[in-house]
Formats: sequence, C-alpha cells, structure tokens
Amino acid sequence: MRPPEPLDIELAKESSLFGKVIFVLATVGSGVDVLMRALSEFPQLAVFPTQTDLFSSGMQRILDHWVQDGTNQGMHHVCSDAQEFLIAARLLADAPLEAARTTLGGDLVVEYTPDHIKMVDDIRALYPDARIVHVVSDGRHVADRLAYGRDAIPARYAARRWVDDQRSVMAAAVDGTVKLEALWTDPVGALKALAGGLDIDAPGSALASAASHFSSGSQLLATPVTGRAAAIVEIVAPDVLAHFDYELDKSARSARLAAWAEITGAGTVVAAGNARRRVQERLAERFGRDEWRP
Amino acid sequence: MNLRKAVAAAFGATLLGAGTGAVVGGPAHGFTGGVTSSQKATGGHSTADLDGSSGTIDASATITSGTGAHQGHGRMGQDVHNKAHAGHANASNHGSAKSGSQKFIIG
Repeated sequence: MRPPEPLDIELAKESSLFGKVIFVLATVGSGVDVLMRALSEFPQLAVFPTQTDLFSSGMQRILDHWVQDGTNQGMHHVCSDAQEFLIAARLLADAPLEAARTTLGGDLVVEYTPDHIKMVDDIRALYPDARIVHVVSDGRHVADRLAYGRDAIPARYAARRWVDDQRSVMAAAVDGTVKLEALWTDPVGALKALAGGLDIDAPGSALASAASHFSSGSQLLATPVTGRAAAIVEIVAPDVLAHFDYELDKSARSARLAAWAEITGAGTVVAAGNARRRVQERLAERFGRDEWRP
Repeated sequence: MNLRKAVAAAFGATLLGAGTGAVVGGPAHGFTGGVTSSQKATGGHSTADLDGSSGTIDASATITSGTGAHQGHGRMGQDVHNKAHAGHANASNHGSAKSGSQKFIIG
C-alpha cells in the first residue's frame, strides 16, 4: 500500500523536473503513437520515443511497498516520514526522465506507457506537479484493432481493456482530455488547442510539421465499425462512449449477435468452471478427501 | 441512453466480467484487471499498436497493479464532467483535482 498522501508540492520543488513532465495516458491501440511523433516536432518538448514502464514496472511497486498489509514488512519501518520516502522515490523516478531530456533536448519531458492509464493515482503520488493528458479514441475501433492482427487477443478481452482503461481514467484526476478524432479531423486546430492547454510554445512551422503526421486521417475516420470486439464495447459500455461523445449504435446487428454469443458463452463456461471447483472443494472438505480438490 | 440499453449494458458487463475476470482478488469496481487475464491467455504476447509499435504487458506486473491499485488505496481522483465545445478543436478551462491547474477538453 502506498503512502496515504501524495508528495507535498513544496517538497516536489526539489526535483529538477518540477512542472516539466507531461504524462500521456491512452489505451494501447488508440493510435497515440502518432500524437507522440507529432509532439516531437515541438522544440520545447523532449518526447520519449518509446515507453518507459516507469510506473507499471517500477515506481508502482516501490510505492506499493510502503506498507505491506498484515505483515511487518514495508518501507515505513525504515523510513519514518512518508514524505521523505516520496521525495526520494520522486528523485529516483526523475533519473531516466532527466537523462532522456538531456539526450533529446527540450524543456518538458513527454512520456507515454500503455499501462500508465490505470496508474494515475500512483503518478500523482510522485508527480503532483505533472500534467497528465488523457488521449481517447473510439473504443470500438481500438477494440477491433486489438482483436485482429498478429498479436490479436480475444474480442472480449480487447473490449474489456478499452472499457477498463476509460473507466479508470474517468475517475482520476487528469488535466485534460484529447480525442484523437479531433486530431485527425483538424490537426492544426487540435494541436494548437493542445499546446494552449499544456502551456507550451507552438510556433507555426512546428505546428505545420506536427499536423503533417495526421495526413491520413480521412481514411481512418471512414473505417466502419464491423467487429465483434467493437460490438461488445457498444453493449457493455454505452455510458463510456456517450461520456466521450461518441455516437452509439454503429455496430451491425450480426456483430452484436456475435458479441452476445461470445460474452454469454465465455461467461457461462467460466461460471460453470468456478461452480465445479467450489463443489469439488466442499466435497473434498466434507469427506476429507484431498485428492478430490481441483 | 435508454433503460433497455442500460439493462443490456449491466447484463452484458456482468457476463463479460465473468468471462474475463480470472484475476486473483477480482475487481473492486468496473472491470479492473481484465488486461491481466487477456495477456495470460495469450502467453504474454505484445499487443500491436496502430502504427506497428507495441505495448508489452508483463503479466506479473499487471496482476500487482490491477489488484493493488484498487484495494483500499483511496482514489485521489475526481471526475470533472464539464465540457465546452467549439468546433473540432477547442480548449476550455475547468477546475482540476490535485494541482489547482485547469482541465481542457479537445474534441
């Protein structure tokens, strides 16, 4: 369990990156990589060309080790003040970001890691001064992309991933939300607005270069919603789609039927398997036969 | 969103949660942790991104984050629903939760 309070904003000023980090949050497959490439055209920004996993593989575990429930473990035994722990962790997290800033040039560091979308609280715990931007794309397209191709995952997991991610970020404290469709439709206007929201310089030449990354927008926007994964998103999360102003009922009837078949089938199979395991456990306990346990 | 859609959504979400919810500890709310199952099911494969780059999921790391992030941590977040639209690209100022900064919405 992490410390109960985030890093004090005054203490955070010890960091050389105070107010100079922008975390971009998005579900994998949203197309946010195009935005990252576009942002790298702004001279003021040091945009990470790759994910850092800074929180998903690093700081989240360190923060979580502050207190270990039900044990005598945890950093709070050796570090009396949570704020001391947090500022130390912050400076630790700064190291790779600062290194990248030195290498890439620029004043503000921009980072995107797919799993960070569910870790806003952890990010805020160490970076109360950072700007956190949520980038959202139509979940039906995202789920369809995740459910097809070489590394495809089952449609229901693809849909669930997008829904989980958006619900998580909807409940979190982010500084802004950008719809990728706005960038595809009007890249110059959207990038200008984004630069304004993030308070970064956007000279005309950089803006034009950044906008050029979105030149294939019309083709992407015209892609129809056809897949089962997309239909699952529509079925289980119309509220999330509506929250981000996406039009509902775009899936074909056949896709919706297939979606219902998948989630009903999978749900029934898993529920039946769980029921069987519970029965086996009870019978094994009742008759004292350990070999009956699942 | 009408009542019928809401009921279907709730029912569908329950089924989807049952069919994808093989996460230890289970979700505290919503569908938290679903990614973990998917990555385990596919052997931890990377997921292709739009432009060909990939996001790799470490299964054990995801389990930790998926459950840990939702077990008694007490969210600091707050949902700000305010929006203002002016064409395709706009930025509007609204109160944010932690830092006293402004929230913008583009799209």
